[in-house]
Amino acid sequence: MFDDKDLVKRTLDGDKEAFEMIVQRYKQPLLNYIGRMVGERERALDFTQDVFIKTYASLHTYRPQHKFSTWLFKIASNLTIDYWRKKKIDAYSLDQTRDDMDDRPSIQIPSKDPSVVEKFELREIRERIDNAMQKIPPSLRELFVWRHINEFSYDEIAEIKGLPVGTIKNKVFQAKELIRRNLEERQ
Amino acid sequence: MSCLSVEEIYLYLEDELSAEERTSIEKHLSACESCTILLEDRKGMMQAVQDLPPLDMPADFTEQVMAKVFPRRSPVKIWIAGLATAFSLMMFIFLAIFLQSDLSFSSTFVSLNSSLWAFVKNLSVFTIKLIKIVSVIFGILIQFLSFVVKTLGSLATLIRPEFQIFLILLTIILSLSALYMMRRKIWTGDKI
Repeated sequence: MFDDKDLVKRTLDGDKEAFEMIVQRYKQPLLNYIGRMVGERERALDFTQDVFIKTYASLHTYRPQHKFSTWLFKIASNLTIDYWRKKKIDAYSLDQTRDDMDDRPSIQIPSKDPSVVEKFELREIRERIDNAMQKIPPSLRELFVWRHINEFSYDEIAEIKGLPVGTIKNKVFQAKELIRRNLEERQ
Repeated sequence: MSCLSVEEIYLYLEDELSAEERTSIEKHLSACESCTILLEDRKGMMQAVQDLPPLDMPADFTEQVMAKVFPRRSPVKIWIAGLATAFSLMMFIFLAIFLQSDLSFSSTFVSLNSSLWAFVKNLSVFTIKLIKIVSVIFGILIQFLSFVVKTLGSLATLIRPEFQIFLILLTIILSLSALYMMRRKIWTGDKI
């Protein structure tokens, strides 16, 4: 099993099969991320292709001291940011304060009702979670997807976004509570 | 210990706390029913998120990407590029020889012109001969076909009309079957 850095080196030496292995390895994680960011499968597939084309074109700029996966997802992130900018949705900056989270209680009073996911069938739960995810701002959704669907560590996410780990943890927490709130509202 | 914040519950679920913090939280959870309900609620939601299925990936996605990253050049383009390279190389060699020799431009062009004229003359003679051969073959073919038609005409007087119809139908069916079997080869050039 070749590691990512070997595959990058071999690709730069002209080995097409090495790049094919990179595509095989990362196509599904990238589609899972981009699909949740843009919400349309066909567009997500096109974007995923574009990420690989951009990756190949800029592979010579990759520095092995960084993790390849974080470098790759940075390219994907830039592509989705461009997409949101073109759609003129001004919701991508992580610096802005989320007003709707400012009034959240630090300690919640739990109800004795079944939990937000207990009431539904599996298929319905999945649909509801996907819908709830689509409703939160893209900047928070991105971090949530990386953390809980792509299963990146907080350190890796911090490296991709170039932000402190504490900030990332806090934003992921906000994302989770917003998703939960959306799930509750739909019940 | 006071009740847990939701943030602490998430960090506990993600195993992002120190051993000491975990122990303290577990101790609290064993004694606090409301925090345990809060924990179970978030745990259920996070489990459902982690169980989300991957998005559908087309089977030929990798091939599509590879075709875009490494586009194949068409054979025609490769031929054109090869011919252009060969022509450039020939011109370069010719120029090098010309510069090394004492030949003048005018004498070189006159000799080139006469060579080209001789080539065109020979090609014209060859084309005329080829046309003559083709016309002879065509004449023989017409004679052969008229012989076949005459033979069939004389046979028709000997065979009963019902048998003639049967033979014509059989010929049509066999021809159509042969055409059907050859259709892919005829239309696409593929092997059957």
